[in-house]
Amino acid sequence: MGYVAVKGGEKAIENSLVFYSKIIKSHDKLSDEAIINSLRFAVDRVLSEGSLFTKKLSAKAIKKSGGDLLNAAFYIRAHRSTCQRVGIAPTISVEDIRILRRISSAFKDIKGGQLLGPSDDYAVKLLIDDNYRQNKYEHYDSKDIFLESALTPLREKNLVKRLQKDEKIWDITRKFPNPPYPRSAVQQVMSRGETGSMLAFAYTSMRGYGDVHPTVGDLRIGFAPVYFKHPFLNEDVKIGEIEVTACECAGSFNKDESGEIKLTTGFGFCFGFNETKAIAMSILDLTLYNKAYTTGEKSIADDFDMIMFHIDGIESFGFTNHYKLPHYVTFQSDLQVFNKSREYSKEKYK
Amino acid sequence: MNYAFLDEDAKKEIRRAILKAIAIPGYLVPFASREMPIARGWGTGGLQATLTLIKESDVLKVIDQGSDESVNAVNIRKFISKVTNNRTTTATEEATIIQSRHRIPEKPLNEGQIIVLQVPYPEVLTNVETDYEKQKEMHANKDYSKLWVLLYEDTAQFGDSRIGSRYPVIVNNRYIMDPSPIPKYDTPKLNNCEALIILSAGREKKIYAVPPYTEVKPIKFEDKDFCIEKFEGVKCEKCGSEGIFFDEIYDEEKNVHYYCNDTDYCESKLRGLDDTIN
Repeated sequence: MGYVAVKGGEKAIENSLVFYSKIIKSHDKLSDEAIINSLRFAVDRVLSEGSLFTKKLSAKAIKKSGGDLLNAAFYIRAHRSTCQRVGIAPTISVEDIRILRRISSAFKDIKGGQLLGPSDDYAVKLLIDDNYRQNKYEHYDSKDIFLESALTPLREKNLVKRLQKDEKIWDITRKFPNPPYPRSAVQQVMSRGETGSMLAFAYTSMRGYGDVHPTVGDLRIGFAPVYFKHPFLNEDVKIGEIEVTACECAGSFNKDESGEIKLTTGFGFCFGFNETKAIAMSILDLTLYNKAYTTGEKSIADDFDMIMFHIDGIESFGFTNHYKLPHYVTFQSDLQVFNKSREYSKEKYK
Repeated sequence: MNYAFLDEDAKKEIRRAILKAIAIPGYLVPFASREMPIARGWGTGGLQATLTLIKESDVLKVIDQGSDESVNAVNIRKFISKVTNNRTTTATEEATIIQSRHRIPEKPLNEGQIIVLQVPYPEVLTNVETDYEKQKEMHANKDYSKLWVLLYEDTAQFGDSRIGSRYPVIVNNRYIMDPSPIPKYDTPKLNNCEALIILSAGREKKIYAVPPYTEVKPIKFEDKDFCIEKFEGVKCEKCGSEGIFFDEIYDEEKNVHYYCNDTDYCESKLRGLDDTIN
């Protein structure tokens, strides 16, 4: 009887969990290392959206959630919430990234060159076995590579619009801002945003609801050094490296604060190797701070509230799934209002 | 692990937000809202408020849709008791903190009790104004004209407001507030309630409150009655109660049955423990 089913209670939850662990039981056979080394983009996505750079725990979360990456990122966020914070590390500059891959579509050739690095962009997507693994890669210089952004020459000529820097870096995990949102808060929300949501919003802007046709000025993946103040020496010490993706895109020109016409740019940055997310983020950044000229009306991706409240995967995924919870009280209320309105309508228009 | 899971910094922040919320009844106070091991939208706001308010001597009750046994209630109660080791109860009168989703218990709440309501949509103006900055401005100016226009349009077309649960209320003659998705049947219970009412939205990162003995009125036109859900001629098939909020259940033969929605109320009636109710 329905009545019993709704009140599943403790026993039902337990049974359901047992059943769930049975249908993903083979995950025991996967080691964390196997996941980190083979499903690396899944791991990177989880640690980026989970907002905590931890390959090992991300691999564990992927196993625990049977490969449901939204769920896996949720595990990481929940864990992150319990971590004690020790302080704030100095800002990382894009130019400090030890480069693994860097491309620019804005220029044919650039200082430092186009470094394709590891990428499957030009793989023909056929499900046949290839054996690239046996080949050696050529022209690879094992020296550490550090490069300035491909847009730096334009910036040095003062052609690029600069946005005002926040005086104090906001921390959205400690306080969520009211509008107008500080730029650092907007960047934080996007940097841990859900890839698919950001992709969709960015796509609205490039396809038809905005006039952003961006050019990828500088897209890079690599290893960024993290420094932290040593408690005794009182100086910044390198404590390790994190894998990151950074993207700078260029849009059309726009007036800056002084009314001068400048080239506009957007910036995207996230943990792990996730080029799609970084590009989408740079486009959203561009759109938010440079309203469209052509469409006139408000578009979708240039609305701060739209982006600030709708790209967090943990939130949208949680809320969407909450509709599975019983809603029979509110549904009963709705039904009664519905029935009364029907009677009223019948009476009025008979 | 820390008592009640949250670290002391988080508790401090939430307590400050709660104090501010109590000082300005019905006003939305932003807070950081930590990620919990329970999903956003599943009561993380209420959970954070409860974990912040709870102390060793508290007795906890958790309900969802009026039931102590509902899956979500079980899950949240289990989590809280695991991280606090506090005593839990299903008896409304025994609890010092009641976390609830979508209902206010049938038995009247008393002084010293706190009811924590889980809130999906804290901003009452969302349906008529999407811009966050404008919403703030409208609240500041006590400009609720759009809500009144909506009520007027609904009344003209459908004879009454189309809102079922979450019926907007005016708190302390100042702020209009979303009372969480409680049925209209529960709305009058907010008025002059002896208990402290905390409303907390985790995903939307807002806390608000109704202090004890505060005037709370549903928005309505002078010449129209505020109509609550009615179950005419209905009796609980278990305990025989009348005139309360019921669950409507269809059995396999598609016959409809009615039971008390508030399971604690029903059980108390059945045991005959409380003759004062109803």
